[in-house]
Amino acid sequence: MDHTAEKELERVAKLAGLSVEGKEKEILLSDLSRITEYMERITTLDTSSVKDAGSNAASEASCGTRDSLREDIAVQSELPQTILRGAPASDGSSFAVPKTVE
Amino acid sequence: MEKEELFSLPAYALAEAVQNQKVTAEEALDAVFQRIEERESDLHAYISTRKEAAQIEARNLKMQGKLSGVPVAIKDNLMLSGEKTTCGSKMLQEYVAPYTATCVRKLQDSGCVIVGKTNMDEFGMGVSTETSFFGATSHPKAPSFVPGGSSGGAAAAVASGEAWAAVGTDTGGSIRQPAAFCGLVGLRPTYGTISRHGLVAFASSMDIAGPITRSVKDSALFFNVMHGQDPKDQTSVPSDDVSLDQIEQYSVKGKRIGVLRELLESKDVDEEVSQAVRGVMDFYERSGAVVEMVDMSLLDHAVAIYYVLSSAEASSNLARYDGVRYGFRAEGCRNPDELYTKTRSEGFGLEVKRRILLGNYVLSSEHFEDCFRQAERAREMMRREFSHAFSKYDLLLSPVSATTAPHKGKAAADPLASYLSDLCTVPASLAGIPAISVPCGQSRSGMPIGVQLMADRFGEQEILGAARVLEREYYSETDIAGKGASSDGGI
Repeated sequence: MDHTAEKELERVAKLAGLSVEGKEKEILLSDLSRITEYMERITTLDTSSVKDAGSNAASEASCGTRDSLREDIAVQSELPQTILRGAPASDGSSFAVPKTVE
Repeated sequence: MEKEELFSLPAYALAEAVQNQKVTAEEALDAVFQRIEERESDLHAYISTRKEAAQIEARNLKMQGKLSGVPVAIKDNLMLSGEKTTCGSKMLQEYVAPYTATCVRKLQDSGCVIVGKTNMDEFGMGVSTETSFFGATSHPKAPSFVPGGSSGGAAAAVASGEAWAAVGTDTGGSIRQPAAFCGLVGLRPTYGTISRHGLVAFASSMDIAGPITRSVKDSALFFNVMHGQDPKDQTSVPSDDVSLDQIEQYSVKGKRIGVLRELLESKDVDEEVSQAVRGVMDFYERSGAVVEMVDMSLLDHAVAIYYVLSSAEASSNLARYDGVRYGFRAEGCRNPDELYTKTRSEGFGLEVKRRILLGNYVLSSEHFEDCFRQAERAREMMRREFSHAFSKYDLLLSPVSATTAPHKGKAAADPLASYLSDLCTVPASLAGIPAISVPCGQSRSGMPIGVQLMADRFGEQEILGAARVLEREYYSETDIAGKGASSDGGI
């Protein structure tokens, strides 16, 4: 197993909030190096004709419009209670999580 | 009405028959559930069905809707209030939708009866419906083959008569490719024309819902029902209805059609697929269109650009699954960090983890500029290339997929090869333009082949018109009818 690639996988997994181990780690190590190598072919493209890339360019490319704004109007919603019912644990009015302070 | 006659009706004709009281919505629904009983144990097109609720809805149906009494399946990443919405993932196995997606509500308002939620690759990440936590869907024509993905359950349901039509979602080809594999019509509308409110996010700048139907007219009708700006989706845009009359009267005479050379002549495209697409090119030329090859150099990079951007967006969107707010939570966690990591590691499948890791890789400070920003700039260049092409051509044409439906197990064996199989569908996703997959032939072994038509933004009328010409005139020439789709949408 390539030690540098393994370290890189562990670093990215930490950023992603994932833990990869055993057989899964072996598979991912082998796949990801091939996939990232393929993706990196775009680094050789001459993109200097696009000056203002970023969220606006991406937004316009996909939407054809810039973000639009609407009036900020407060409305009553029953959703909070419904949404809490979808949580794995709640105390009736809030999401419940394991203790954060010892 | 006899069952055979009933099944021969396309969705628009079924709605008319329901309105004219020649058949009831309950009879149509019963026919679908009978088909589900006969075939579902082999197909596994659905993750969940809702027979009792659908029967009540069919009984109390409003008769004036454009799609009165049409039994429709929806992909399991679209919310339907009170029903499970799993996205094909263990993470959302028990998650119940608290509201209904805008596009699904519009279908219900038009008289559709929702049959159930269809199987899909986990969170839409896959090309075969095999990454679903709930197991693979089989191709309706051959059980050892896949129906495509990620909307494979939706396509299999429609092709087998387990639904009259379905709503899929398309990020990089997830409507068009399964439609092509199953001999159906799959429409990816212009980005923003159909609200994403209630569609569980994968890559927000490319995600869109769209119909998978047996006929082009059904596709147009579903688009008319589903589209429209929505205050609950800031990226939604206003758009016009397509005219069903104009689609019927459409002629390709004098139209300029560009064929994307890099896609048609790619070494990855099977000879049978290439020949079927060339058959369509010849047909359009005989019908009076000017058909020319077009070079678009960036197409060679489309898959790489797509996977950088879609993985980056996915890694951000899927950060919300933390074991706190939705669905699955790992057991025995002693602190929030452990809760977060353990929940995600146990809740996501391998393909989703792969994409999240890729996304974090391209967004990390070392690669942000040369990968992510570079892909954004390349996407803008591709959009300009398409814009330039549409200044010369009314339509662009290509295969939908390089191959016909593959055997089960092939996609998982080589993830990079499965990513590369998206080469024909991701360009339209990146450009935000409408694209349609229409049946155009079949392989020697009888598996359907599709052709893709693309138009400039808001060009649904153009692609649906050209697709209808193909369906009406080319099918009778080539005898596609009876072997896959038929010329009027019956099965």
